[in-house]
Amino acid sequence: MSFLSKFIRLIFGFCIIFLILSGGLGSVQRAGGLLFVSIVCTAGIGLLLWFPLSYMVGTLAFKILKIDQNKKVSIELTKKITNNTQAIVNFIIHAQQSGYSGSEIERVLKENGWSDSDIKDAFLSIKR
Amino acid sequence: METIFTQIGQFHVCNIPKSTTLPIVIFDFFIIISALIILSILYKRGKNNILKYLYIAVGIFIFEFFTSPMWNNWHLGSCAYVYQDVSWILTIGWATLIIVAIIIIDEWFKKWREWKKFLLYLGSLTIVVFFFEVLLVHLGVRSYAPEVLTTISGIYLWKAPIEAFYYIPVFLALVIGFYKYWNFVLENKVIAPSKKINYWKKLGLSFLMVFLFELVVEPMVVNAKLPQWSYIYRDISIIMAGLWVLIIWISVTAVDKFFIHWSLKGKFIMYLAISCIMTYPLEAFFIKQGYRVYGESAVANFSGFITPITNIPVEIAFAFPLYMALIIASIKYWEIVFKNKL
Repeated sequence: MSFLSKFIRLIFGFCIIFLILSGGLGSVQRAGGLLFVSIVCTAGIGLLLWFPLSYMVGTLAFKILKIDQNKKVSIELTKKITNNTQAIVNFIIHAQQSGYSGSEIERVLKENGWSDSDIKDAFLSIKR
Repeated sequence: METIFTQIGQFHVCNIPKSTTLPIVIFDFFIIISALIILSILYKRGKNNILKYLYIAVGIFIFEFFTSPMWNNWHLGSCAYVYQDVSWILTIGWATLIIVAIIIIDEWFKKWREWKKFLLYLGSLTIVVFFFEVLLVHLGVRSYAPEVLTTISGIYLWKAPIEAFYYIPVFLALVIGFYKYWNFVLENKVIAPSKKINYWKKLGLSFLMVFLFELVVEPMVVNAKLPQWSYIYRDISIIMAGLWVLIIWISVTAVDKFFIHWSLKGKFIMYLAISCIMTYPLEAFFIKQGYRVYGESAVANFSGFITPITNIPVEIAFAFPLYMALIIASIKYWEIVFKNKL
């Protein structure tokens, strides 16, 4: 994911948080005040909370709105796969890119409790 | 907004003793120059090493920020502080020591298993860090909060409390655990997803990390009004600590189960988010009801700003994600080390 894409998610998430805070606290001024206090009065340490939180909210919003998901679309278009299969697929792709053989990958997946059919489904998803 | 500016004007907690002496100035320069030398060596060995240094520094800073009411870091000079008496000089000093030890041990003991190397990090660094602690005490930089002084045994080794031999390894274990977790992200380590969730292992690790940390930070806050049988050591209550263990365990288990396909970074944010959502209102409730009473040194460190709705000091609100970040990163690091055989 490019820096710009991450930055857009962060800003998008921050706007959502700001809107929620404005609603929760009753006014835009109060939400601004809270953010100001939490950042300035902690010498910027508050950003350690707001940055990841904004990025997380932005990422979640992008997932819900299905924006910018072109990388994984190829797998998801072929078949509606479960989170478990997606996790195995991600692992297999990553392991293959790192130079591990098919048998090594299969062995490790079995050691982690995955059945033969789970592993087969994941390999099939990748081939499609 | 006017009230906020008025309050910032009265930000008395920033008024810590910053005036310095010649030996402390020499110490400051020694730390800065050592850090610069190590950073330049690290940069030559690979650009990623600078990020590794940064991860260690972040871990140290989190610990220092969280435990800042327990110890004073004074007289380091007017430019040496980031927040109250949390000093960037000490942060980079500890970070330099830790990264040097990790690199040397990783280089010389490549074939050793991770837990063996980890023990070696702790063993070697505890001795070195203790000597620096002694140096800080002798320079007049380091002193301890009254709550800490009443908790410790009173046995000193070269003016440093003997309890440092407990505080230092816990500090190192959390910081190195935090660094190692983020190092997996940095090195793009191949980590197999696990179908079988070992609930007991997660619970055991959560219990261990929370109790180790609670023993260190115990002087900062008093757990009061709880049943007498629940107190296991001083004011550490099995009910209160058990609740934090349970929350961390639930957060880690839920994310590992329902967000199994997410990256390490994404999962980490979710661990923090879920655990903090549960902890925040509970802590506010405990403070209001008098079950959690913060010590005088902690209260003196509060800036006076309170959070809306729950009305708790902002420092406490910000302490949750920091506490969780160190503990959860360490738990997940050990879990990955034990299960990942690739």
